[in-house]
Amino acid sequence: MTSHNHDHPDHDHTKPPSEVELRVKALESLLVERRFVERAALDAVVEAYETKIGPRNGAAVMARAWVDPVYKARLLSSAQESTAAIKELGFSGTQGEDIAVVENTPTVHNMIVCTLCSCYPWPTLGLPPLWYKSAPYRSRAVIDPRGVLRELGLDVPAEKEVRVWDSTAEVRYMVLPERPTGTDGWTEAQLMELITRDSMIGTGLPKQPPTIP
Amino acid sequence: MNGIHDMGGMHGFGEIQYLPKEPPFREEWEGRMFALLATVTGLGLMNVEEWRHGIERMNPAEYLTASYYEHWLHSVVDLLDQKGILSISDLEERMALMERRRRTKDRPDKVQPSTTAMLRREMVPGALATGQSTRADVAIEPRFKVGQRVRAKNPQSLGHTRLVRYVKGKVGVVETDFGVFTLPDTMAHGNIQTPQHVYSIAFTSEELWGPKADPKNSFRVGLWEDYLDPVGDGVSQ
Repeated sequence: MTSHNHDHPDHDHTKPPSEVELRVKALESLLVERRFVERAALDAVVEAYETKIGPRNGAAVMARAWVDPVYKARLLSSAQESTAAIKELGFSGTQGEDIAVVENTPTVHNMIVCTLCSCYPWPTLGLPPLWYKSAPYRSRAVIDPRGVLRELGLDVPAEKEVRVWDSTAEVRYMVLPERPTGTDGWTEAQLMELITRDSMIGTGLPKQPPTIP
Repeated sequence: MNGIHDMGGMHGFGEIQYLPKEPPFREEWEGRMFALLATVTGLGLMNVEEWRHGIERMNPAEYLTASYYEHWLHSVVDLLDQKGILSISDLEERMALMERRRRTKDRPDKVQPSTTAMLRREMVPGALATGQSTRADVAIEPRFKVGQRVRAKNPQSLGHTRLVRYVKGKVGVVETDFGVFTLPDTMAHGNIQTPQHVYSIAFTSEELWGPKADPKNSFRVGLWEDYLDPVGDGVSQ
């Protein structure tokens, strides 16, 4: 699809568009008419986030770190070095101009929040989910992180530190989860399947490999 | 400003409405709004800090009831109007026109534009892959060093800031120096860069949330140098 199809049947609304919908359409119409942007460029932005930019990207980064200690060390050094290492896998740009990776260990569990709004590493995780942008998560992630994690189904042992990263500055954070045991010899492609979006936000853990009784 | 957006530490918002899976845009207009913001910031019609501040200035009741992309719309429309790029009256006139056309099933004539647009489809992949870094390429000596204790200032500015309320007046330790970046507080008001170091500051649970807080929690907050004062002259133990 190279341009937004304005004759699509969906546009013949049987119900009138909402006020907000109409406002966005009018804004688009005027910015296009005044030659700030062409509709096909707007389509391309939407398509990029619907089809290319999402948590599979981050999973590829983390899987690489699990199999390549040199790559992992680069991810965990400065934000500039980790951003360069992530770019080598093809992920860079808007809202990921700087990406710092923080590592989960047997003693530390990291979790990411943006209490002010919704900052999130777009190139590697895609656009943030609704709950991440919502008031309950933003307000409580800092004052009751363990309660929030429990509510999301993750019980972090009392003796383990929970380290909360608030994305107030222009550095986006991403969690490197602990590699599950029982995955020795797995390929990057296999490991990627274990790495969920939530495990890179720190509100979940990677999937466990199937156990053979 | 002490706005409703600065939510860290508030109570009363209820349970997290978690969905295991959701599309990037729930409705078509959300995707269009997203792309329109990328356009106006990408073209430099407004900077991201101005836009963020436009959201922060929303009436708190309106902020809490409006959806995420409605915040975006509100701020973009406001700023385009204030900057004299696109007036709200022009926008409302266009809305009325579109609504009339919808009712009468009248299709506007397809007009072939005579000039090319500033943002074109072929520019999008490169623009997204590059982004807009707010790093400032200037060598500035950092005022603070890693390991040093610092106190977050307690200003009550009416303008834009990234100094979150829950760390104001609190003491932490410089853990990482992220390098030199432009300052949101002045970028939002006149596009003034004020380049300076940004640090990741480590705060303890007790410092932020009092003696009853779980000591096994800890916090990292990215703070600009202007937000910080030194504590004593020593390095933390």
